[in-house]
Amino acid sequence: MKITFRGFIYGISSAPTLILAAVMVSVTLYGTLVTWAGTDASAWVVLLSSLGTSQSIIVFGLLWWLVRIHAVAKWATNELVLVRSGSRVRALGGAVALALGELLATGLVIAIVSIASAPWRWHNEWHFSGGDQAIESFFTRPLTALLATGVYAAVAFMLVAILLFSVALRHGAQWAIGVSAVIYAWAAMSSFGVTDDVAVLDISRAFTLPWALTTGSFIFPLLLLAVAAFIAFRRVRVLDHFAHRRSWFAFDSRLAVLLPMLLSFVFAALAFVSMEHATQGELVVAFFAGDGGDLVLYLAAMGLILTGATVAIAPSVSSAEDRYTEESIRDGSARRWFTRHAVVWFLRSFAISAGIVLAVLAAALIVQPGTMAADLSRDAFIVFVRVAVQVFFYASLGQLLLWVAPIAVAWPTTIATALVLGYPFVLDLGDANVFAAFSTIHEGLPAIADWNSIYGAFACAVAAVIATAMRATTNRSPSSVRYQTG
Amino acid sequence: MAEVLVSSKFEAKPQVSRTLKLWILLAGAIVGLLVVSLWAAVSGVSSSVFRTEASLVGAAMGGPIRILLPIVATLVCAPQVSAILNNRFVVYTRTRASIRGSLGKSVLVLVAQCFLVFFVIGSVLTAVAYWLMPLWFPSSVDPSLYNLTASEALASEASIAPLVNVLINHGAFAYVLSVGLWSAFHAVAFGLVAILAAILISRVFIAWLIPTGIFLFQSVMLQVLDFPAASFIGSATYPSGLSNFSLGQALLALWVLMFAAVATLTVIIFRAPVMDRFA
Repeated sequence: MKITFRGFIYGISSAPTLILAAVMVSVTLYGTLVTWAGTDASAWVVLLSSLGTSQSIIVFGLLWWLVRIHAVAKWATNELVLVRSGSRVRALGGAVALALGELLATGLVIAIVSIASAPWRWHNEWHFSGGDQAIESFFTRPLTALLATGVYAAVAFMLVAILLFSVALRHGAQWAIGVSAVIYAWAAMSSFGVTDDVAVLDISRAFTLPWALTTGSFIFPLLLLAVAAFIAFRRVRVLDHFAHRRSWFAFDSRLAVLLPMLLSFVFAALAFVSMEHATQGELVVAFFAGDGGDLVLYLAAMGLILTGATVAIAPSVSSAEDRYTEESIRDGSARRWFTRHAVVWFLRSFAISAGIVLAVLAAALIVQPGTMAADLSRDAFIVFVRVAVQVFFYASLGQLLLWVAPIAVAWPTTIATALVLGYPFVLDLGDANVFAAFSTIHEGLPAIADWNSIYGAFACAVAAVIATAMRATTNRSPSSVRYQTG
Repeated sequence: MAEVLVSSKFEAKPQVSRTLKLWILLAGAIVGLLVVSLWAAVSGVSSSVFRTEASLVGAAMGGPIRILLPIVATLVCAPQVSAILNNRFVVYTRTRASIRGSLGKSVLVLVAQCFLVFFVIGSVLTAVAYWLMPLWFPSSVDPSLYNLTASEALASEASIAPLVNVLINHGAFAYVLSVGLWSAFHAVAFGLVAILAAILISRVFIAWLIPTGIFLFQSVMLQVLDFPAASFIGSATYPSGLSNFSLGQALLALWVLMFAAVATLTVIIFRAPVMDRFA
């Protein structure tokens, strides 16, 4: 972020950016005063037809970009920067962030000066365009098409940058110059139509969206993208970098608590777009319909609850797997180890559940605003109690399993069983459905004091806690000190 | 306590032949999944009337197996990879065999097992639902209740479940095989993802949840975004839906997952000699 901002500051005041901006202004002015003179075409159509051609993007844009990123590549291959970054992968990340900042700065400058030099007609319609048919049939508005063209070119530019940075980091900056010369020559020839007869060689499709739509094929740009990413990753050994980092996907980190909330917000926001309900409270209740709703909403809600439970017990699992002996000696006894972790998983369960319900509620308020119900907090509370009991149930079950069977096998099996038994494929458990106890909400909102529907799950959770306590405090080690076969 | 730890960990156990144990596990997975699926199918079939035998197949393949596919594929494929990596088996083996060769061989064997499990389950379930269930429950198939003739019912079924076209054009046996192959290829894709997760993520507890997470996340996202045919929940075991089902979308989802998994795994196997994970 900081590096991107630095790149933005470099880019906005640099000479190459200003030269490119001047070229783009002259191209736009030519479009305004000559090509589109005497028509009623909107500014967006003029901009798209002048800046969106493969000549503007490749002959001028790519040339400027290669000059800019050569400076960045030289910066990234400097020994001091490499040492400070710690690895080639991190140096690549820094270079990409810097280049992104410069690209954003230039995009901003070009947007301002080109809009100023375009005809001042801001209607957002295609008529009188008479231009490219393919992009008109693809996008309903010229402004959208213009933005899409910009993003498409930016993605291609960043990809070229990543490829060149990785070549530079692996073999030195002078190799990157050779590669960029080849890329530029090839792209420029393509943009002037040299390769039109041999469409496979037409690399300009990877940079220019209108041209890609006209020729009607994205396969080649996609293939190029895959090849470039493959070469880049292979050059700097990105896979090796991640493969030996133990903390990758560290669900036991504090930040991981945010994952269920993020998922809740995304799932709920998407689901609420198609739902037409009167109040947000009803939306929240409908999202947690359980086996009374359709299979997809059921899976979404169960997915959130199981993710929440996984995050809640992850610290205990990693402690038990890696350093149970050391930690229990340090705590003084197995009982103290257990008590400490029991408090953590209890508190985490309830905090995560509150986060899930609040995220769903926030999604409801944002997607369907303005229908605030008086008893919103009551509805949300009723759902919260049920979600919290369910998360706590699975977290406790996981804790018990940790002492009974290798957790890596036991936990996926538990998830499989829960997903099948919670939804009435096989058995309709009704009020005894402890696997998706929130299901009973669909039969009408229960009173706050109505505990019948969640009593089963809560009782099971308490039983699991007691069983775990007995097992964990009687001189036993967790079952999966290390996962082993045979 | 230290003695307790050591003795429970390294206690001598009666040795069963490794191969035999493997076959027992695979057979257990197949039989267990078949029993659950058949139970669900029977409880569904006994209470409703379908328009053709092919809709009965759709109902049988749309039960628990629809959700269990990624989890079972993971439990078939991932344990061996995690075990050889976490037990430092690889480190000792590498002095005698090429890491690329042994890793590639493990992947092929695991993929073959996964394929076998789901091919058997898919084709047996389809065969039972197509040939046996109409015999057990004679009133469960009745096109006249829908005001259709048998061939009309089959044609309308083909519009929501594209594999029925195989039944119409090539006969029942080819249909049974095609359903088996369809679910087996999807299971293989998830098995490859599981192997990949087991290699890339050293914490087993998290690694084995990744395929199921991808399955659930992709399904919910694409269903809610109105591309139901491309979601794995709608197409992984048996492609069918409520309205016109596009086989292209379903194949695209499989292709993307398979391509990503195979490409990454190829890179990993190729780079295995210099990767820290195998050292």
